[in-house]
Parts: sequence; structure tokens; C-alpha cells
Amino acid sequence: MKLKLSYISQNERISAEPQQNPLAVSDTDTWKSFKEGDESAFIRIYKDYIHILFNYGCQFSGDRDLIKDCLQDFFIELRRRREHLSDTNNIKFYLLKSFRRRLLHDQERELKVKIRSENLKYTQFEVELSHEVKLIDSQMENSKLEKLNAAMESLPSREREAIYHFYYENLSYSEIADILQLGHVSSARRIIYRALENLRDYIIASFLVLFI
Amino acid sequence: MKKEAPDMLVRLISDKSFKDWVMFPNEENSLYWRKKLELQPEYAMVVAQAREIVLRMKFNEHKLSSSETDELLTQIISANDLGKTLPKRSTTVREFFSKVKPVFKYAAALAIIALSIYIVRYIKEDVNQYLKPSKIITFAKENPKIQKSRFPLPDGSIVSLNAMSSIDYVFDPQKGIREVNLIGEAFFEVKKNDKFPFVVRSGGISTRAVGTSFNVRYFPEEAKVKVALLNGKVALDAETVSLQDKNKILKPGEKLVFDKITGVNDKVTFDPLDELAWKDGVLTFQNADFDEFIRRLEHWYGVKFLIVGKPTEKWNVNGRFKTESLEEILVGVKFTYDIEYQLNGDNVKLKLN
Repeated sequence: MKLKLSYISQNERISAEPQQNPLAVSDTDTWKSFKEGDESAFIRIYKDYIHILFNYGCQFSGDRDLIKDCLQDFFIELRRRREHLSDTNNIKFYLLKSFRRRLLHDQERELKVKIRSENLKYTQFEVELSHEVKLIDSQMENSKLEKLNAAMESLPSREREAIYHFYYENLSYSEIADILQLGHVSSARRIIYRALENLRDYIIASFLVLFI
Repeated sequence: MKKEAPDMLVRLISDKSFKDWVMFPNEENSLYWRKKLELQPEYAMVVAQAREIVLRMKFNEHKLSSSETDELLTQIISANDLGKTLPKRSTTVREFFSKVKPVFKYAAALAIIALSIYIVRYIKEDVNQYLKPSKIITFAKENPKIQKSRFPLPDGSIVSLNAMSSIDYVFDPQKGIREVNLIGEAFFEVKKNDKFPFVVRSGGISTRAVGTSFNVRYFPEEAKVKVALLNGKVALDAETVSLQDKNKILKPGEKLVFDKITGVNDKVTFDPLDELAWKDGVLTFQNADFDEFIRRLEHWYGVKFLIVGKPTEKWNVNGRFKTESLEEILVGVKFTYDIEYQLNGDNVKLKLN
């Protein structure tokens, strides 16, 4: 049996990988200019990452206005403290990490009740195997996808967040470990493996069908 | 295999390099994974499933509108401007206003809004100017056998790509062109842009267009490169030899046929119904001889022919096939030519009597 390679264009995703551009200013330099008070560097950072951060924030809470407020405070604070920020060569990761800290901090302070009650439901980092993606060489029927999606739903939100960073934001294991405050890089690898391993029972069932 | 397969699957979908290959394929990782998988063909099914899971993984997306984005930026910038001009203890707009005489309130608010709009506008232009001209945009796609596809390029042009074909797209503003390297066959509907011409390079022929639609066909195993223009105008050039002057420009309905080996080039007219039928899933033959007939079938159905014997007469096949299976076509041919065939998966044994 031949493996088919069909590429799917990813350019519509919010977090699509930025085009590699050798002439572009590096993250290190952009960040440094921002710290030194360069306003065009700030606008660039804002424009490049506002959508990623907003989308990320909305994974914690579906309340758009709440996330907008948090983002506003977050950026104001960032600008106010710009001279004292540490250096980074990966702005996206830096912002995701510090925005997450701020978001959870805010949640603890005043939004405890709100977020807590949401937490009980399956609302954070919703992930599913989409039926909409059309694959020519599809191996899975809808019923199989339903079962896998049920398994996804049963994952703790922390594991789903790891999957989000891994698949959607394309972060490395060490960045994921850092954001989720895991002790070791290997813990990030493990958390993703464990999350996906939960799907295995369903996968085994579907394989038996395939091999009859 | 049954027991191992699910473990293998979990291992693949949690492997960053596998995921990166599926989601962001490039030359290096494609080569790596293709080689790796060739060594373990028994995992082809697992890999296909793993790939599918990765591609189907979908999160809820929440978007800010562009007016929300601008509004938020204005608020952020104006808040910081206040922070700078005021003593540390007044940090919010409300506190600030409560300390200022009412007369100045509106004036101050207006001034801040006007200033921040100005700053945003000014900086936006600056950033755009700074970023745009240096941005190199690339895009690549490859189709395996049997599979055809239709998709947009980053510049908005639409490409229909035939099976067993691949394209590489590069837009480099420094060079001032949109450039495509093609192996195989593709139909281009080029998005008009006078500033950046669209150039397709294939089999030593470059086709230069501004906004038009045309078909380019060059499979390395065929000696001929063919460029057919449906509408608009294109300019042609050959890398190694020079084309006849009259062949350097195509008008709608004209087709250049270039022999890569001899350099012979000729302009003919074509029937769009036949020439472009492939992209609508129609297989057509026009006075095809035996070799062309077999080669086209191999391409179209992704099969390999084993030929026994030699044709005793000159073949001349015509026809349009849309939904027919390979077997139905062969049955049809059997009426006119003395052949026997055996279908065995991807292999076809054809005996000429």
C-alpha cells in the first residue's frame, strides 16, 4: 500500500507559521527596540500577536469582553514596564506565557466564581477531530470520529491546553513545559503522550474493524 | 502488527517532528519521513491514520474584528500617554478627570483621541512600508498519483494541479516577480498585478503573464513542454535555445509545443474542451498513438502497464472519458485493436496480438 501525500494549505489559521523571511527583523531586535521605546516596534508586536493572544485567552473563557479587558490591561502594563522587561528571542512564547500568568492571576482575584463554574463544563480548550476537513484518502468514518471526540472531551483541561500549544501554536516541548509550569521538558512530552494515549482504546477498536 | 499499531499511532501523533511534517511540510522533512516510511511499509496504514488525526485536530477560533483591534490599540496607547504625563498616583482615566476642572475635560479627551489616532495612522504606514517590500512569500504543493487539486496561491491566483505534479511558488518583491516552478501539469488563473508579473518555469520554458489563464504541461518522461493560453496574453522564453520570434507571444486559443531535446518549437491551435478537460476530471484522447495512450492511462489511473508484444498497426485513439473505469476503457479499445489484458491491482498486463 502506498502512502499518499496530500498537503493541506494552512494559511487560514490564526496561528499559521509565519513565513520564514531572512530579511525580517529578528524577535530579539524587535523586542529590544520596543524596550528602548520604539513605538513602531510596539505596533508591530501588537499587530503580530494580538489575535494569537485573544484566541488563546478565549480558550479559557468564552467571555470576549472579559478577554479584551484583560488584554488591554496586559498591554498597558507591558508598555509601562517596558524598560524593565527581560530579553527574549521568542516574542510569541514570551507573550503567551506572561499573558497566561496574568489571566490566571486575574481569575484568582476577582473572577474566581465566574471561571470556576465554567471550569466544570467542557468549555476550556475545546478540541475536536473535525468532520469538515476533507481528505481524499480518508481512513475514518464519522462514527469513528465521534468516538475519538468523546475521548477528547473527557480529557482534563490542562491536557487539552498542552495539546493546544502543541498542535495549534506549534510550541516546542520545552516551551510547553515552561508555560504549564512543569518541572522538566520530558513532562511536557509525557503529558501530550498521556493525553493522546487516552484515545488509544478507541483507536484499537477502530483498528480491529480495519483489519478484518 | 495489530497490537503494535495503536502504540505506533500514539507515538506518531505525539511526535513533534511527525506533526511538523504533516502540518508544515517542506523539502527536508518530507524527504526524511518518506525515506523513513519506505523502510517500514507495513506502517503505511497507521501513518495515514496518524496523519488524518493531526490534520483534523481543530480548536475553537475566536477573532477580533479589525475595528476592535484598532480600538483596543488606541485605548492602550492613550492609557500609557496619561501614565507618562501624570504623577504616579493617578493611574486611571477616571481619577485623572476627577482632578481636572470640568472646562478642560472635553478638550483633554479630544486631544488624546486625536493624538492617538494620529500616532496609530502614522506608525501603521511606517510599519507597512517597512515590512512589505522585504517580505518573501513561499508556497509549495505536490500531488501524488491519481490525486488532482485546486487551491489558491498566496497572491490570490488559482491553481489546478494535475496528479503527479508539483509546484513551488516564490514571491520576492526584490526580484519583482511572482515565480512558479512546475513539474507536471497545472492550469493557472493568474490574479492581475501589473507591478509583479507572474512567471511559470517548466521544462526550460518560462511563461510570463500579468493577469490571464493558461495551462502548462511538462512531465519529465515526455519530451514535450506545452503551454496553452485560454485568455489574456503571455510572453514565452526558452532557457537554452531561443524561440522563433512568432512563438514568443501567445494569443488566446494558441498553444506552444516545445521539444526539450531538439529545441524545435511550434505554435498550434487547441480545443479548450480537450486541452483543459483534465482539470474537470475528464480524460480525453485526440489522435493518440499507442505510446501516448498507455502513458496517459498510467498517469490517470496511477497504474503500471506491462506490455507484451508490439503494436502491428498505427494506433489512433480518440475519445472523452469521465466516469469510466480503466477496465471499461480497455474493453472499448478491444473492439478496435486486438489486445488481451489482465488487471492486477496497480499492474496491468497488456498483450498485443
